[in-house]
Amino acid sequence: MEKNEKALFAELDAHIDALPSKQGALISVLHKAQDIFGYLPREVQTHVAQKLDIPASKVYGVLTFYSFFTMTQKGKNRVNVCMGTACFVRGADKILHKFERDLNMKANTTSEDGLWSLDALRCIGACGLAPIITVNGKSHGRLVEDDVTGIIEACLAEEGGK
Amino acid sequence: MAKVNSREELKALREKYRDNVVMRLVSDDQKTRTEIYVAIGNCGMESGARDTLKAIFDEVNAARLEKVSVIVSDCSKGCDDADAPKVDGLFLCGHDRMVDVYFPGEEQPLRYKDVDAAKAKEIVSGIAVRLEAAHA
Amino acid sequence: MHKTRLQILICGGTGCISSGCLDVEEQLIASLEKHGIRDEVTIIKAGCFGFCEQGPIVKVYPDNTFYVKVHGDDCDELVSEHLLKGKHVDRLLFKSPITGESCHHHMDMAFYKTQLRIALMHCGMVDPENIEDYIGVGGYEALAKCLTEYTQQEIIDVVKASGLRGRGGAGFPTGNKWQFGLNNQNDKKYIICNADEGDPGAFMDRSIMEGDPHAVIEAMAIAGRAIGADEGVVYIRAEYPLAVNRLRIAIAQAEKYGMLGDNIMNSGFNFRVRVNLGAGAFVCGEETALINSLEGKRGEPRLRPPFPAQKGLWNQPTVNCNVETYACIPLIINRGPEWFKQYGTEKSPGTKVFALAGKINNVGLIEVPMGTTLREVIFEIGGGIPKGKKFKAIQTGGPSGGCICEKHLDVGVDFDTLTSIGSMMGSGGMIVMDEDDCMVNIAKFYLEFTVEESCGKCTPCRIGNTRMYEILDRITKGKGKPEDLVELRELGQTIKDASLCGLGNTAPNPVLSTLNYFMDEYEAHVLHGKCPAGACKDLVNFVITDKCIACSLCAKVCPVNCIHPTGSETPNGKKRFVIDHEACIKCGACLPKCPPKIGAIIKE
Repeated sequence: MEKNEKALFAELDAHIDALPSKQGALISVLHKAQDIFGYLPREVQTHVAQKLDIPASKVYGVLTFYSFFTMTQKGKNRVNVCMGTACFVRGADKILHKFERDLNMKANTTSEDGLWSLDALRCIGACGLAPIITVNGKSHGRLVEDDVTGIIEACLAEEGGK
Repeated sequence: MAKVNSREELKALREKYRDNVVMRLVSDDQKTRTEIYVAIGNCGMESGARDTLKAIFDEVNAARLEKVSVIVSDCSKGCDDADAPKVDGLFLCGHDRMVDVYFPGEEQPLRYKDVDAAKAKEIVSGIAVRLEAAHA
Repeated sequence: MHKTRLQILICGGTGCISSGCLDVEEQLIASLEKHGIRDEVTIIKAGCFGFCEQGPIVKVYPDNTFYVKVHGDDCDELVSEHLLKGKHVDRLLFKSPITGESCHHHMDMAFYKTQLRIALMHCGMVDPENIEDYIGVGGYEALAKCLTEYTQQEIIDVVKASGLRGRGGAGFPTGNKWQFGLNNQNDKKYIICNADEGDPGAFMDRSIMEGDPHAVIEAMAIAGRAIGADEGVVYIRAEYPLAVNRLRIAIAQAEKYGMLGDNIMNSGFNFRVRVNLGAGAFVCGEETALINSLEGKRGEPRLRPPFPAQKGLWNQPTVNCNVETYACIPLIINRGPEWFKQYGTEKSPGTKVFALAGKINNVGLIEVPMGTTLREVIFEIGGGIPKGKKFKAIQTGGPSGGCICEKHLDVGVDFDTLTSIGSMMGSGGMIVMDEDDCMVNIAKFYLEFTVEESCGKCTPCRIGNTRMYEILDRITKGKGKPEDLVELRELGQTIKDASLCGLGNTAPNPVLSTLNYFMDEYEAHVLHGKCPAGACKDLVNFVITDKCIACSLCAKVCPVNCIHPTGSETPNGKKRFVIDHEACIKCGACLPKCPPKIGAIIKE
């Protein structure tokens, strides 16, 4: 976690203190915490537990139940491959495997150098563009395997340009 | 915006905001609307057909003729003289500022030529009278 | 009357945003300014028009021209030729795949011709971020009517008489649900809108919220009035940021206009709506799991009874319907139950929205009367299967539904017919599959989904589905045994019978339905070690035949360098290439690289 950690916790506290009621607020608080920190490490979990006055085990139990929450920090470049049914029948698995091979990593992990996160997502609902992926929030639709290398290179080029 | 306090107030608002959407509502029901085509195409841009368009549109709007749509058409739509000499692909039919009016269910339009602001007013009031009569 | 001579609607749904509609809007404005006619045109970013395959879509009013696949750099031509001179930009018009003719009007397209829009009536027609548009088309009139003309019971009677059934899954009659909500006396009651659209490949609820959010809000208020609730919650997927945003805007506007809040339209009725984000759990589509999630807990289903209408959110009486169901309500109130009932079938009145996707030409969102046949949906509206391939199956109902084969294509779709042929309506996802799809592999895909999404509360679902998945995995790898097929059936039936909630009750459907209709494919895998569709990697080999001219194109793309020139000689004396099957990972990258006129690489 970064040096301005204190400020981040303060932001979270301000949000929790402003809640009209703490009853049933856990999931929305976790949403906010993930917005602020980018992920939900142990420190954040225990902090939330204390603030809401519930056991840390309950926080952990809830956040591991929902796929939207993550306990690991994501990479600099985030590749999400839609694995909804429409994309699947149009070859999304091939796209995912191509990324796995080219980036030399497994799906749903972050690379050791922290440069890439590769995730298989549930439907993002843009079935007209199947198979579709999002890279750093930007979508690329109607992909074929050969497009993958170019997309990776474009990300790296942008990285180099910074 | 003050809050709506009754069904009547909501109704008044609906009348007001109908202006936003009436073009879309009417256009989706092409069988019952009257269409006024103002031919512009390439020649019309030079000959002032844009002024004709504005005049017609303003008249229709002023008369609140909801079921009348003012549409720009290519000049070929209004050109009944296919044998007219052509230069650089443009018809030189000798007529400008042509306006076609299609009433609902009618195949043949009423055709007007060289329509200026005064003529536009006449055409639109003619339509209004006819629609009124059909309605009654 | 009209503020401007022209209105241009740009589809602003998620699909069209992905295909670049925001750039279209920007370039269009720039071009209008350049030509000096910005003041003649109103630009409206509307909700989904449905024809996602052809996005971004731009509609020009009043002449009603429907442009498809419009990109930013097309805008200048659109302005200078069409808007100024009245010449349609022919290359941007939709071309009929049959006649090749350009279609100007959307009703000329086979995709729209047989559709009937009720839930989607105003979607793609009004500006979803502007309540004035909604009021202009008669919005909130139904709420006003319920507040001034009808008693609570009368509202429910209208809904009952319409025969409306819940669009989210099993098709429970909405009016009856509301009746239970009214009958359970309590000071505090809740209305929930289930917008946790979890079926992969279904996006109708999202499109409704993006395109016509006020219809949902109005209907929730009507439901609140009917049962006597003063609080409504929309439980929506966090993965739908655009829908969340539009819903929040719509709620704020409705409050400002007094359509939500205290003493609505001076009737003494109070109602508020808030948005609650889900966090990615398919099981939360089940209403009791959803309620647990709303309370900040793990989304595990509760035992029923008590039903939510008795003890729901915070143990208070709660009525929960899904987005599409709500979207039908204002029109039913305004136009009457008889109007609604004239469409659809006797037991399933009205229309249904389907998300048509997969191996189909016209991917998109469609709404048709109940009872429309699958054949019409696939081959008329959907435009058939791409690349001249053969239709194999259509999957309805997402992970809870089943695969339907060719022989049932003439069945008219409604809640009961789909159940009778081993599938279900679900939320209305329809995924079309062609000859290249292996049905065993598809069943495995759905099971993998269920295994991951099972909440783990009850054993048949948690363990039974995992065992089924393992068997399917084995079969797709060529290690299946004949008795596996018997076991799949028995296990599937047990899970259906013994699970607590709808997820477990329906999870085996994809397997059982494919076992019923595509037994030959299972047998091919188990008995002959073959995948007829060529989709199961372990049962497929890539082989280079003697047609090889030793050009080496295939070897260059092989990611694992397993293609080497070690074969027989070509007439030119070069060594043909051979794939080392030990090293091959069967990625298939070599296949498209072999020039089609050579065609030396084949899949066995």
